[in-house]
Amino acid sequence: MGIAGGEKAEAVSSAHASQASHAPRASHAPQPHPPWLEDILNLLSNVLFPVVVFLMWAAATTVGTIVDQNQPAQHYYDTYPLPVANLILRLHLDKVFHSVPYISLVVLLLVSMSVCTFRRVIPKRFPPDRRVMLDRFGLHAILPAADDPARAATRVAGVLRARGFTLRERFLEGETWFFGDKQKWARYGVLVAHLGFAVIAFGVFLGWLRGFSGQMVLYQGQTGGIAQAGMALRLDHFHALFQPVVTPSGTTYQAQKFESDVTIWGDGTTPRRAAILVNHPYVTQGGVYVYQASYAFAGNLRITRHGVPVGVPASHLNPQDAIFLPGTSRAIEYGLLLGPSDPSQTPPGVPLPKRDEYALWIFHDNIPTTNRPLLVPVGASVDVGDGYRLTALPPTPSTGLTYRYDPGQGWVALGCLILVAGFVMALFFVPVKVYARIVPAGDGCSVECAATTTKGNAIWEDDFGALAAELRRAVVPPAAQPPAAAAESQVNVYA
Amino acid sequence: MPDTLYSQYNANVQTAMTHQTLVYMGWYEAAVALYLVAAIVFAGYWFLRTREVLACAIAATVGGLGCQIVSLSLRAAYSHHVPWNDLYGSLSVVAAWAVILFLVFGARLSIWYAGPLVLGVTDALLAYAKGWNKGLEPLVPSLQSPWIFVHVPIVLAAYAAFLIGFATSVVYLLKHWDEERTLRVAGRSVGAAVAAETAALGRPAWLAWLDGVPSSARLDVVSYRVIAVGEILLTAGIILGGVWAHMAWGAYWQWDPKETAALASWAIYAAYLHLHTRPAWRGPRAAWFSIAGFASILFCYFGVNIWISGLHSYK
Ligand code: HEM
Repeated sequence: MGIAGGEKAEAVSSAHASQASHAPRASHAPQPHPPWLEDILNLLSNVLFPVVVFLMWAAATTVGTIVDQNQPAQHYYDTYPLPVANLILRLHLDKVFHSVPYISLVVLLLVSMSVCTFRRVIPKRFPPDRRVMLDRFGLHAILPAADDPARAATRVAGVLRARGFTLRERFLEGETWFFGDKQKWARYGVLVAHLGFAVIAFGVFLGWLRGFSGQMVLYQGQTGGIAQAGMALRLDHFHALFQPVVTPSGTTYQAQKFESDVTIWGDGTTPRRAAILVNHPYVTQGGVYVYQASYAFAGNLRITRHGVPVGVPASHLNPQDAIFLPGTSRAIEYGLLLGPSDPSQTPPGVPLPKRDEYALWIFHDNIPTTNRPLLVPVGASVDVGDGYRLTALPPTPSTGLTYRYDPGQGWVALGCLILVAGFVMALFFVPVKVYARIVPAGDGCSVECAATTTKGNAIWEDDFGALAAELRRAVVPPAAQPPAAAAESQVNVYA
Repeated sequence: MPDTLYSQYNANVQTAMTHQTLVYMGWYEAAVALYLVAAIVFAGYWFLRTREVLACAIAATVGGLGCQIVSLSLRAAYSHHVPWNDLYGSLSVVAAWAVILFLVFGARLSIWYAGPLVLGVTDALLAYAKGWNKGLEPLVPSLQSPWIFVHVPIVLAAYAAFLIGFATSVVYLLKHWDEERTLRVAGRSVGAAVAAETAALGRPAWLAWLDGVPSSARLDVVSYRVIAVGEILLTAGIILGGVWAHMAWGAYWQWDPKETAALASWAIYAAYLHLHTRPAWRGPRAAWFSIAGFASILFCYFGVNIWISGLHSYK
């Protein structure tokens, strides 16, 4: 007995639900939620809510654009007046994009979008085909037809079909009605666009959860590992191509192409060689991308004392690196490389030497021993004092590689496609619904026609004017055709 | 501080003056002059409203566009790469797109009355571009990618569409003001017939052209359609930029200032489009949104390229 009662209750509630779907107004539907929750859901599904959140998102994003991000505190004190710098650091405006409030805005958009989708976009049923007051429509026209109702109906249907409407014919209370739709599928554009955004968000989340990325610098001959992927790569060779660029302050050189030749192993296949260039990353079978990011040509010196090599590191020198010579108060400060190996280091206006040479300083008791930098060509050696000698060796190229594994990227790409498709559907196409009614009157009949769009009337005014004119030509006898100006006045194209 | 940031403006010009640069700059100067003529003739169309004047204005516009296309093609031929690799080139492409879209929308939605605004702004942008001309520099490696053919022109087309949406929104606000004013005048007098006669009262004479402009309800729709096209293009452009960044920089999104500024503009126009689904919020509020959106586009374009350094700031 209890079971039967339960079934009955279910049957009743499902009858309620189907009724509710015909009357989508929330106040008529049974309220399954407490009022406060209902209020929140109503707020979240109001279109003005995302408008506000979008604006806040735009404002926060603009702040993050204007204020340099992720710099050391000193940078802000150097760049801005003291109170502004204090404000930036107190409010954490130096780290906008990964902050909790910023991410919350995006999450809020997603939540509101989902609530809205389930409460408004999906439940929005297309109205059933029933009698409506056509003269209440912003776009409507009344045409006196000469034909008998049946022939007028055929002609009206012909005109509407020729204009691309999918028609349904109904006989309602003795009258012929036509209900037509055009580009009805575009109504799903909103749903598709919102789905796309959700898929992108899922992909980003997946990448954040499971992905990794990092950078490595490899000098020629060096090997580096990517622990997360269990793989390693060795820089076999690096080469760069430069091109001169004439500027007002002299010729400079721009790297035109640079390439890392590497050997890769450990990613599940046999060791293999690959060339990595800008815009041409190497992709492992496991989906790890390795990118060419930067390069450098480091200074390379050999230091000896009384002819015997000393073990001070001097082979991967970057500008301003200092080498302190043991047992003395002397130091070498490396400057830069001038020459064909990396002409981009040569300042504009300085002639490019034919052979590589290093510009460097030798300090004694913290005082430079020369008033201009010392130029040491590759192959030459220089006495540094206290028995030390430096010999210039060819520069060591190095490559900066970025690697990245992002299991969400496919989802992001898919979401992007869906989003654009939804945008095109929702924004480019205008779903139009037309109504036509044939009203018998005396010998003939009159034809009433009306239309609505999801985007207001103004967007379809011209088309409706043209449609009404064509209907008039089809059903109104030539003798009864009003002069052009009067014809206009019978077509109401107004909201 | 600003001095050093601006230092490349004009300095670039001296660089570039090889014979070939002079040739493509000649066509560029012709385009600047023709667009100016077009803007003036379109302003004349406000007053005269004859087909002949409109035809002259359109002819000057098309002529200017032709010169621009020749200039950009020559620059591409001389440099052996796309001409939009510096601020000069990209501004030229924005100008060309703005003119092309204006001609297309002009023909389809008859927005010719926005001509002085569209061509005035476009010509100012184009004339300003001159100082950022880097001449025939080679492309840096990160720009050597097929994606430069799609990402950049699509984003620039979006900017151009927003420029036109800005112009039609301004015309909208004027027309709306004029309609309200007419209604007020009519309210005070006896009826609609009197309204027509008193329509000109309280309106500066140079705004008489507003009588020939479609109703504000139509203008709202025109702005909506143009902005919708812009937002589709901007979405596609940002996404294609992400694809390119994924190939070149190792991440599809880096929170680079250019990306974030474009995202902010995208959000403002997304707000506009959502707002526009509400009949009560169409109209003046939507028009102000469109104007604010265009201000954010200008910031995204000039603010970021010139004042903020990042991966994207090409000068
Ligand atoms: C952030 C990503 C979002 C995107 C890309 C997006 C996209 C769109 C697009 C393209 C339209 C069609 C506009 C038109 O026809 O003019 C639309 C409409 C709409 N959106 Fe969104 N939207 C987003 C977020 C949201 C959120 C957070 C809500 C939450 C309430 C929302 C609610 C709506 C509603 C109610 C409509 C109008 C439905 C109608 O009456 O036709 N959207 N959206």
